Amino acid sequence: MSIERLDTQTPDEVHEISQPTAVSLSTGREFVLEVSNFSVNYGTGDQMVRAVNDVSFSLRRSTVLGVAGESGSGKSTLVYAMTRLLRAPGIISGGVVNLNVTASDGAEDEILDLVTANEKELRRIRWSHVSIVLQSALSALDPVRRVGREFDEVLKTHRPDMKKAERRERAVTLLTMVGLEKDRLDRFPHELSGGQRQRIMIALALALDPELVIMDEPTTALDVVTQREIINELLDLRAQFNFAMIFITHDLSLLVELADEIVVMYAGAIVERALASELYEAPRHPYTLGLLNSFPPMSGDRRELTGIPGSPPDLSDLPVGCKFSPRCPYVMARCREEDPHLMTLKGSERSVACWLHAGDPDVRVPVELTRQVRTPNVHGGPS
Amino acid sequence: MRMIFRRFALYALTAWVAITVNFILPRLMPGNPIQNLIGKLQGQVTANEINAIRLSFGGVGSKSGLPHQYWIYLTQLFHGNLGISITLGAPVSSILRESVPWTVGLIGISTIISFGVGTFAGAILGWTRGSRFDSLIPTATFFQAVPYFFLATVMLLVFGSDLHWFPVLGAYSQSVTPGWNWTYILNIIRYAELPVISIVLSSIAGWMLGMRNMMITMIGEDFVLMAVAKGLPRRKVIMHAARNAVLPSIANLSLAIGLVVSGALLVELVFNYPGVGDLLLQAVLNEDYPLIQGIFLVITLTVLAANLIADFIYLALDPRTRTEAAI
Amino acid sequence: MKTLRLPRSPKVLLGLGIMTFFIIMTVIGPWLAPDNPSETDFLPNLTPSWHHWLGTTSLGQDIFSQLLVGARATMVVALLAGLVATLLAVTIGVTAGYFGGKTDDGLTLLSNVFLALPGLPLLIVIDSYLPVTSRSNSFVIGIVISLTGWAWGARVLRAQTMSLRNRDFVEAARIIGEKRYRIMFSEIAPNLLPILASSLLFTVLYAIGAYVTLAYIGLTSTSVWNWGTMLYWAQSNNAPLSGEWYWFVPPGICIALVGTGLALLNFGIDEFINPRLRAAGLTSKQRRALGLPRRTRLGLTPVLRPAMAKKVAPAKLVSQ
Repeated sequence: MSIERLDTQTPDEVHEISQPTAVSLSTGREFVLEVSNFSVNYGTGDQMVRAVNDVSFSLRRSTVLGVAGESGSGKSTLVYAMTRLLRAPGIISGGVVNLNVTASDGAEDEILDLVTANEKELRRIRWSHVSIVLQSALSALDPVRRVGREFDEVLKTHRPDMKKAERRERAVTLLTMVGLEKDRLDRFPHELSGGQRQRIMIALALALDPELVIMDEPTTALDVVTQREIINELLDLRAQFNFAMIFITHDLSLLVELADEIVVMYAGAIVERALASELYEAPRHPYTLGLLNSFPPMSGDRRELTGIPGSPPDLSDLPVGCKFSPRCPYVMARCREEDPHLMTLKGSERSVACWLHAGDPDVRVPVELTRQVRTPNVHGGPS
Repeated sequence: MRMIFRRFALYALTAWVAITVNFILPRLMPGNPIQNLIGKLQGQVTANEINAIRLSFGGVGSKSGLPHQYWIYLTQLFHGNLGISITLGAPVSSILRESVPWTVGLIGISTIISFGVGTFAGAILGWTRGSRFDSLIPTATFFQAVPYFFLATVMLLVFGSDLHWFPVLGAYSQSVTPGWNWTYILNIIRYAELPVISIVLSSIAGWMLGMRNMMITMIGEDFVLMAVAKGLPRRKVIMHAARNAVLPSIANLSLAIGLVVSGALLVELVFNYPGVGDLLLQAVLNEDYPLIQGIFLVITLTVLAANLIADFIYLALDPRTRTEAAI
Repeated sequence: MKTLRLPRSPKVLLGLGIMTFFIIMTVIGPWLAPDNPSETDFLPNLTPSWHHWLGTTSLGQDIFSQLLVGARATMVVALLAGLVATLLAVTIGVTAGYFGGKTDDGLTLLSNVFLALPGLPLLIVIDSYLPVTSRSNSFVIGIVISLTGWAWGARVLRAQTMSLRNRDFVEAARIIGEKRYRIMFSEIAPNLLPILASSLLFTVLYAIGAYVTLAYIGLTSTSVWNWGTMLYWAQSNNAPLSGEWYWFVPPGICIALVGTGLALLNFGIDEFINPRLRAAGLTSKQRRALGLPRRTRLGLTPVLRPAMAKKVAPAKLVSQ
């Protein structure tokens, strides 16, 4: 079917209510990370704020998951808490974060729940199986140490059998991978440019060949040109090393080419999840639509930039019902009373948390939220 | 390297200021103190010595103008003529040559211990913030607020006289012969224990608290989180934070040394240590200006030298200063 | 600007308590004193008794009266010296930081020189040259002390001014065309207040130490009663070795307490300036009840005990 026909469709034909999305914890090698019902608070008692609310998702090996949302949506809190790196006053209030740890010696894989792991277990898997590129890479390097020592240190800790010369060689290889000269190793962080530092952070993240690399807004602080270079390098590295990646950003357009799947967060919860192309071309959640409309397309007709009315939610004072309802252009009465849970759409693996797509026959779904993804073989003409 | 040159120039300038202060002050004050001084000495010292004093002040009494007197003063100074002391009737320079090493030794050891233990404790306090170690803070603060000489007196009485745990009064026992022998050295250490402890207790809080606060700030920085994310052992993470946190303490060494010196002089007084402290008191009582000025000058120069060393250390530890022009 | 919240930190409250106590002593001390501190009426070397709470000196003076009367001079001179020194520090520091360039260079050089010169020896030299008449003038002593204590504050204030000068709101004021001194007063000054307060406390602390030390050596007039003078007399009459602790211990303790009070207040201000230093959140009892560790360790985000998790959850999500 081509897009032009869609306004005649009724919800029933396309969607169906399904159970709230529950993550089945599998032990297969397919998934590298499985998160279920994960919640994070800041503070306790009456000062408490729910920053991450009952989030569940799973990440397949060697795929890229993009996490998009505004500041305060909980995306950074989510990944830091997942890896137990969240600072005080963050507290994990519930959930399971299963990391599938590949054994290096070919032995059986091990499932480690990061939430209940102790310090020793965490230290073991940190960097060697999960690494992270911090948001401000610019201040993530020790100012009084030369860059080379950062590499040396992490290699020494996790690969005690490596000799000094081997460690140096590995560092040089990693730098070359990100397009830097090996003399950068002898420099101090303040002697390098922002782009160089970011590249070093990426090289560092790959030093131990981890299964999962988390990137927290790695390009936000950089200029557009450098941003583009880094994204390209990331794509190359991904092709080379096959790690799974979680990429956090507020810039949805970046994720479209980088990610396999995208998760959109709002007020601490996932509101939509879909394949990248699906999300971009056929969004289902009004918030996603709003995000997409905030960026002008490179090609195509000129259209009005609408953005999203209202202001980001105050997590200490969230509305009853759908958290997005105050700003939603398609809000209904039900939205203000009941908070929609994440629902799988029939016939696909997408999910969305919106009453518009709950299969209610009385609900007219707006055209913009019923688009279909263009399949390559469509040539137009009658369906 | 430009930094070192600038710091050195600063200290040279300060030394010059100190020297000039010594020259100007007696001429500034009403009552012609220098003439009074010489008057007091008549009959007690030889004419040569009177002349030496005159010259050390820049040829007072001569008809030459102020600039010429200043020139004489400076040349005399560079020849080591600091005048003659009233109280001891000997050249100030020889008096000082004997006492200054004791003072420098005492203050030096005390500062090193105080700094070392203080920053170490501060690092631990900063890292284990919220634990029971925090109760150390008010205690250390209290000791810091007690005047040096007061604490010294109390310690002298309690530990020296009453409990007889430590020897008191003097730098070494009378029964031991000075020289480069082991007994002598051990004896010196023994006698130095109480004064050193006293000075350390009085000064340690500053280092501890400064380091603690910086440590807390550093722990909030991303590179420390990064160290944790890398799975480094705890010790290494602390080192990352501490190496950065200690820098301001070293930068503040200059101010601290000034305070420690002031306090240490009085501690010497209490313990009868043969440094310049007791000399200073005597000099003040007797209005022995050459001695007072001489002590002031020597102390100032020593403090400046210590500052320079501290600056060197800072430059070595903070790579950011090497490329940019620092404040 | 920001709403003033009453400080909750026990350290700060203790500091406030101590300082209030001594300020009261400064104000009404001389009235409360039972006797004239200089009167040598009484029997000498009496131990503490009902008539003389702290006994008498070797000259037959009431020590308690000396302590109460002495509070005033000690505190007032220290405060005076602190204020003058801070005033100097503000003038020099803010000017240097705001105007930059040659002004800055010159003033910084001046501060650095004064910073490097050791305070007490300089004080002693200057003071010993003062004629005796000047020495009995506490005002003069205060000024002399402040001359040696302003440099640190100047440096700190300069650094702060420099960082403020480049901030947006100052830039905005400049663009609008505000006069320079107006900018300094209405934009920069309010932001300097916490640092200024801290600098003042620190300087008063220094001044008390300096004043007491000078008095102890005998460089201030012995006719003006202050805690340092008491120690001077105690020392010259060999009180410590004679076991007359009631003579020399009280003034020393008072000095230490005032110093501690000032330092504790300084903590409070430090915590106000640097939010990271503020103690975050819960008492250890509360934490234990929630199943949280006693202190949060970096890299070990705490996890609520499952039973507690239900209790602290906010309004539940409506689910199918």
